[in-house]
Amino acid sequence: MSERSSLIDKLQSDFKARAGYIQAKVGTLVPSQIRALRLKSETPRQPDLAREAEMHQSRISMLETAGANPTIGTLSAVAAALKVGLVVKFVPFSEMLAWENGFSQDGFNVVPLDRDARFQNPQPTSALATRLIVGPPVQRPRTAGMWRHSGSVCVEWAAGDFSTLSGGNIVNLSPQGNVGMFLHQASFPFSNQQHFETTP
Amino acid sequence: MNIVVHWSLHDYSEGSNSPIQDWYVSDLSDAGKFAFDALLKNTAKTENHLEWSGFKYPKGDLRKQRIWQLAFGADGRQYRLLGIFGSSFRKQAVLLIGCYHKGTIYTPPNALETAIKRAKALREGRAGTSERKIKFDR
Repeated sequence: MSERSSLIDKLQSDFKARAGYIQAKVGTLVPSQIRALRLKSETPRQPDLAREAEMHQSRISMLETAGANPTIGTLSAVAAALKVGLVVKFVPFSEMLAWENGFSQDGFNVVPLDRDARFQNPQPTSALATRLIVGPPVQRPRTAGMWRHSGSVCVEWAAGDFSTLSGGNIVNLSPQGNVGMFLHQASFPFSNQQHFETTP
Repeated sequence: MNIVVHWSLHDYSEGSNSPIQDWYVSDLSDAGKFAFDALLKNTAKTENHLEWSGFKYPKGDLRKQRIWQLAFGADGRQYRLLGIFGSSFRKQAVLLIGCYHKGTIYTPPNALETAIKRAKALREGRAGTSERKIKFDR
């Protein structure tokens, strides 16, 4: 049995192994993220972050060490001190492994609140859409900018953030109820950044 | 995204014996092995060793021998990996010994002395190293 098969068998059959596997990934990459953000911040010393987070410096040091097991409250405090947000989400094991493999402490950075233009100047909902995937059948526009759909429609508002809209519900795309804008073309017969209208 | 692995990681070895691998297999629980693997994978991808998570030069004789430590936790234990940098132009890190400690008690109890002996043996050519492959499917 290969090493990988053995690992998979163990993870499938042993709760403690699964918990240890998950803790190893999170317990390594979360401290690494904190360390990366601190070192790239305008105040890269541990005492500065400790003061902002209202913690002792030794706590920051511990939080930056692999195997740290902070509460969500503690992580929220560190995120607040770094002026960044925090997302905790459950994912498939494959996604967790991909996250680990693709993570680079050197390359990791997050836009802080004071430079977060998207947060400070939120666009209308329709303009946030970056991609539209239309399931067949789709009718081509009858006139420029006009189209009719009769299949399911999937809108990507931001990277990885999808909404699925069934026929007729696409009017919810914009504040006006029937106007939207796409930044990229997928399986959709409009060019980039083109407004569209739906027909009821 | 292309991730650059900056460092090659090596285990101290004496002939065909690899004490680090023996320690990994025999002394670490599953959780400890996973934590060890995850730490080394992340470490190898971080170019500046001063930015490694849990890295420091301990005080005393270890520092005199330019032995550094990497700290990580698993199973409620505080583990330490003691190592030195290779003399090659490539970025090489050599693991000398793995141990865990509680307060000032190290297990194995002679871990610090062993690390110093192994560092000297390497520098004097009486011992060798074997490369530890970073596994991206684990």
